[in-house]
Amino acid sequence: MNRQNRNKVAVVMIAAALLLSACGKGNDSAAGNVSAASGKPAQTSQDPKAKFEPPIDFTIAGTTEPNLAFDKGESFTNNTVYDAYVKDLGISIKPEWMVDPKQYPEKVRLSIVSGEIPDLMKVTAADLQQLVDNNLLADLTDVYDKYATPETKKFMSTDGGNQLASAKFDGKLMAIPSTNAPYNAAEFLWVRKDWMKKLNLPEPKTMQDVLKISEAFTNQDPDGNGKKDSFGFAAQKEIFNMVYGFTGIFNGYHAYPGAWIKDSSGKLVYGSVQPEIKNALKTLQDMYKAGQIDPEFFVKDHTKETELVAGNKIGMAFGPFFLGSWPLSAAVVKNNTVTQDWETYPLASFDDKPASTQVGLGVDGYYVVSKKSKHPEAAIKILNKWIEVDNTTDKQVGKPYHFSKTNQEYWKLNPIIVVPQDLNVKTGAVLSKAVETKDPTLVKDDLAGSSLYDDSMKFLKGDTGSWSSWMKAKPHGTLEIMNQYLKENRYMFDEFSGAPTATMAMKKPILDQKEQELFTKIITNKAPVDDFDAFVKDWNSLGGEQITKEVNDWYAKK
Amino acid sequence: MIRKMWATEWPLHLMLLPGIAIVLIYSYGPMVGIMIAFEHFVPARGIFGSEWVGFDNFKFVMSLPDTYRVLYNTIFIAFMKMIAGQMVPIVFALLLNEVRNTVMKRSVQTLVYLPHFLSWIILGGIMIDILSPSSGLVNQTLQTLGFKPIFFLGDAHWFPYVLVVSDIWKEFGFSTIVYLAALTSINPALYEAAAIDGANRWRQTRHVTLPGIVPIITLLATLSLGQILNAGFDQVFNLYNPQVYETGDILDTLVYRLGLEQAQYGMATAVGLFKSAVSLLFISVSYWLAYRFANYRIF
Repeated sequence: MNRQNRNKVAVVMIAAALLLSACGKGNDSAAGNVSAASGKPAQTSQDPKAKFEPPIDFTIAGTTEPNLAFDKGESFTNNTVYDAYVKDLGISIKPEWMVDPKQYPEKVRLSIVSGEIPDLMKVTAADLQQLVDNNLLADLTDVYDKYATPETKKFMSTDGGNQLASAKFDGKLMAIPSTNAPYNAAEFLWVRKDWMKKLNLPEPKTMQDVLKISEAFTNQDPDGNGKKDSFGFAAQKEIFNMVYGFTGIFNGYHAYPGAWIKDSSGKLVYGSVQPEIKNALKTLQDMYKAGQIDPEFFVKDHTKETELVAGNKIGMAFGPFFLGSWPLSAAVVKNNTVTQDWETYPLASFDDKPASTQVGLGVDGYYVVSKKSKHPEAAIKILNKWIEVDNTTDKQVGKPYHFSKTNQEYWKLNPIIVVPQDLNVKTGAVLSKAVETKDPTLVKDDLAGSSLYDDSMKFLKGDTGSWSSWMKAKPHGTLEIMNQYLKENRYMFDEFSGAPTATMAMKKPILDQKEQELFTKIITNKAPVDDFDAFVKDWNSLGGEQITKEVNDWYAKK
Repeated sequence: MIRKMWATEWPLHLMLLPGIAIVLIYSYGPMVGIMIAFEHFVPARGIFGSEWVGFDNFKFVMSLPDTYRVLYNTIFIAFMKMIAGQMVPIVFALLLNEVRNTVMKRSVQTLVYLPHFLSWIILGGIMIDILSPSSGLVNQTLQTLGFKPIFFLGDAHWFPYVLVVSDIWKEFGFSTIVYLAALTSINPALYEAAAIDGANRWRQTRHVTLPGIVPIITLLATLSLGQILNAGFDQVFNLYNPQVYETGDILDTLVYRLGLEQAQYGMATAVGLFKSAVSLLFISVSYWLAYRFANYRIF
């Protein structure tokens, strides 16, 4: 996955994950587990939670979320979420500037160049490195130590501290990582079960099974319209995108394109230039030649490819746990009927070693505080508050920070948003069992879980709008598999989580382009598979060798 | 003499001042930033504090394996766009000028002008649909005529031509309006005189209309030569894919990937400066040519 893909994916992931956790609170039929008494802590005397008296101004960098609707008289600068921060923390949030989300990264860079940054803003790993190099940031080590509540500290290091460590420079905490669950990036094999049944095919346990199914879906007219117009796999021009990408095939051959993995000697090597890649490319080329992949896939994005899914032409796809919500549900659920029966499976392997799914650090960005800020601790207090209100089962506490009076999605307005590092994967351990036995008590302490449980029950009663939740929650659904991956140790982490190294910043885009160009050409049979060997040589001589060295230097220092 | 002129004209000069101030502030002021092209630019140290590296940024860009291919693509695509972008609107304006029915004339004029307002993001999606080899309108037409379907957006051979044709389709209406405006400024007496001398429509066009708009053609052609390295970022960025990098990757998309996505400002500025220098050269040469052969001065 190149950077661009990863960013896109991260955005989608956090959106999906947040939606999930936020819906839980808006849902009035929660699983009868509301314990209002323990909900609201009001110890204002305790230091971390003390209010600013009189209220302080705290500037942020804002995005004008295009899909956000406001209550009458409210706006991006004046709304009930900001009012709540004044009321509870004495922090008056003032957007120093606001731009469309698409222009946000550019505007952030401009503000870094000008040296004028707001008290708080969200940046990428590369921006963070620049800000640290340019000495524009407040050192948060002490304020985090002093002001973060025990709950916050626990929340931020559920993953063993990897994500927090990625925000440390020479031992100093320079940013708050926008945490997320790395496991949410796990890939699954999505298969049309109705077609499998119709053609009497075995379940896809191995890569060989997968290839057989793909072949049958292409040639045996699974949709029964008498035309050979179906494809084994969905595909799109970004071949390593989470949605409809081919990463699942590569992982099945134990190849991890775009990731830095440990080789047998303990050094980090780049996944895209390892010999395993060749096997996967060969398979994909064969599939393309046999007409099992849309011959026009490399000009299409996922929206275009979804049109094929909707037209009953796609039998299998690789995708993350939220594929059912987006973009699949638009193609599957029509006029309140589920028109296609999809089933999810763990990635299949070509040999007896199970396939691991490749995932990154899972951090979706970094919240940084300006060196000039008079109250860096305000950022930590906002963080405390968000963690408190986003992880409570008490709706009275959560609501002001999540929804407007008319239930608009105001949670997007919070200046700091962090997601539990074990979101979904923890839920996956029990949720499918709860759904199978119809026992809500199994998930009563789990916000995401209980909301998915409710949705699944609704789905079983005929609410097709909950189909995407059902795909996550059902037995052998994505969340169960996500947890199964964890239990079976089948996550392959990208070991490199720093900002781009010097050579990487200069040369990686060129190398990425070469990679994308060649891989696409090999898959579409415009270049022989053996060209891969020449590519590896070029990759090393065009800067890859130097990058590998720098990455290993970084790894040694970590 | 000069003093006398000054005495009567000073209010006019005063009125020029705000315009000059704006040009100085927004056009000449930022030129200081050209220095970034010769620096290892670190934002916090600023333009004057960053390390001076001379021509290193230029050397780096030139050392990239694909630079020449990309440069060739850029010039090839931009040159074709320039030529076609001149010819099509002129011919179309001449034809439209002959249309007698005002309603017809106005509505055609508006219709061809419309695509100018669509963004390439939208047109990109539409083009993928209509150019699709399996289900697209164009290829279905080709097939009914007995040709084999062509994958216009996925074939490195066809891709540059698709860029040119679609760009012309989108923009020619806009240029047509300029030429139509020029046509209306031709003195009708000349046509009457030509008609009396027995000139038919074709001869009138050749000897009255065309000479009448030669200045504007020269002007637009000269100005468009400055675009020799602008092959249209929006369009290419929305339509290209790994299969057509070979013929479709242009200077701007390269800089976008290298310079902006990775915050390599020095390199991005270096390429920008290079583009400006080449544009200046081409405009100067064409200006001189226009003066030398058409005896026409723009300034």
